[in-house]
Amino acid sequence: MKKHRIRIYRSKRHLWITLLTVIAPFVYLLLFSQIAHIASAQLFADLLVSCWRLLVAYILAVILGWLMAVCFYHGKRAIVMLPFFDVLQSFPTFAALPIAVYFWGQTNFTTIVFLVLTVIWPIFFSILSSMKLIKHDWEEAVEIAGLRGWDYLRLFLFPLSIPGLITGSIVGLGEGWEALVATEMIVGMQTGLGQFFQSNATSTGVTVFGILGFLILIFVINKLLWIPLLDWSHHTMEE
Amino acid sequence: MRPAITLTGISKSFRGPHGTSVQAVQNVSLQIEEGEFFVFVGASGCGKSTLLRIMSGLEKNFEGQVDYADGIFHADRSFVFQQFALLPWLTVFGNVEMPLVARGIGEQERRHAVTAELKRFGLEKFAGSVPHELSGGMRQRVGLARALVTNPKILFLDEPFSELDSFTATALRKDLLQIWAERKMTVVMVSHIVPEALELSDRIAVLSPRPGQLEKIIINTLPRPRQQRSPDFFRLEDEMYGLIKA
Repeated sequence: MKKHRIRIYRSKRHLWITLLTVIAPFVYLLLFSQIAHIASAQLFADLLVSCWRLLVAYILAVILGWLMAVCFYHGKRAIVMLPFFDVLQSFPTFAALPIAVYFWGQTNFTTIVFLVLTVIWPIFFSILSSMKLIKHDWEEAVEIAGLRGWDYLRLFLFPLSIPGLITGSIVGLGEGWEALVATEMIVGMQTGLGQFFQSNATSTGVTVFGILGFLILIFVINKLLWIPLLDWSHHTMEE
Repeated sequence: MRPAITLTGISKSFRGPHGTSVQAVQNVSLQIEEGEFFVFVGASGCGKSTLLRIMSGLEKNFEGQVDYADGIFHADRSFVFQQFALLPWLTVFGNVEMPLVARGIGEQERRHAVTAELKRFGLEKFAGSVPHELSGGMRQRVGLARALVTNPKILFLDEPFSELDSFTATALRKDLLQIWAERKMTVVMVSHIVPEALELSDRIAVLSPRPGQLEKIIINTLPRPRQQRSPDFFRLEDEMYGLIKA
C-alpha cells in the first residue's frame, strides 16, 4: 500500500519560527533589563499595565465602532452623519487631554478614553467600508429569508464586517500603541510604558533599546495574530 | 382553482442616466393560479426580472397592485436567484438553515428539515462545505434547497439555470419538475430560454421589449413529460420565437 508522505519538516520549521517569535520578546526584555540595570519585574509590570489599558480601549472601540457602523452604513443617516464622523476623526485628540486630566484626573479612565478615541476611527471606517461592499443579491437573499433583529446581526452583518474589523484593528492598534505611550506621559500616569520612557528619557541607550523592544512586540503580535486572521477573514469571503 | 397572485396595472420605471426616467414594465395585469407553473419570457431587458421581484416583494416601489390569495404571507414565498446569492461565510448547512432560523424554528426541527432537503439534492456530504468549494451546479442546488426548506406556497425563480452548463441545467429542471409535482406549490419563473419555458410551464407570458408589456399568454397543453423533439413542441417553439421581439 502506498504511504502518504507527511510534510513534517515544513511543520517543524513553522513550529520553530512560531516559538521563536513568542519567546524572543521575553528574552529581549530580560536581557534589556539586565543591560539597562532595571528590575525585570518593573519592566514587565509596566508593559502589562500598558497592554491592559490598550486591550480595554480596543475592546470598547470595537464594540462602539461596530455599533456605529451598523447604525450608519447606509441610508439617510449615512449621508448626514459620515461627514460629521470624518471631521471628528480628524480632530487632534491630544489637544483635549489637559482638559480631560483637569476633570477626570491622572486616572486609567482618562487614558483609556483617549485611547478609545484614537483606536475607534480606523476600526469604524474599515467596518463601514466592508458593509458598503454588501452585494445586493445577499441583501435580497436575507430579506426573502426573513432574517431580522439579532439573527440579522449575527448571521449577516457581523460576519460581513469581520475583514474590515481585522484591517481596522491592525491600523487602529498601530496608532493605539503610539498614542498609548504619549497619553500615559501627558496624563502623567505613575505606571506603564509612558512612565517607563519618561523616567529613562535621559538615557539614550535605554530609550533606543526600549523602542526596539516595542517594535519587536508589535511585529510579533502582527505576525502571530493579525496576519493569520486577515488571511482567514478574506478566505471566508471568497465566493 | 383560485388565483395565487393577481397583478393589476403593474408599472415600474427606473431613474436612468442624467435624471431621465426609464420605463421597465408598463401596465401588466394577469392572474397566476394556485399550483400553476407560470413562466415569463421575453428579450433581455424587457422587465421580466423586475416583474418577478415586484411579485416576490423584493421590489417595493412600483405602480399598480399585487394581491395574494388568502393565507399566503411573506413567509410562504421563496426566491431562487440567478447567481445563487449564497452567503460565502456560511456553510451549505448554514445557508439552507437560514430561512428556518428567521422563522424561529427550533434547532432539532431545523436540523431535521435541512438534512432532508440536502439529501433531496444529493448535498448531504457537502453540508460542512462553504459555497466557494462547490461547482456552479451544486451552488444552485443549495440555492434551491434554501428556497424549498420552508415548504413555500409560492416559489419564484429568476433565470435559475442560465449560469449552469446544459447537463446540470437539464438535471436541475428535472429535479424542479419532480419537486413541483410532489409539493404542488405555485411556481413563477423567469427565463429567456424558449425550450426551457416550454418544457416546464403550464402557461407562458410573453413580454414585449422595453417597456415590458404583456404581449400574449400561451397555454402550454403539451403532455407531460414534454418531448422536446415532438412536432407540437417545435410548433409552439416557433410560435414563441415569432412573438419574442429582440
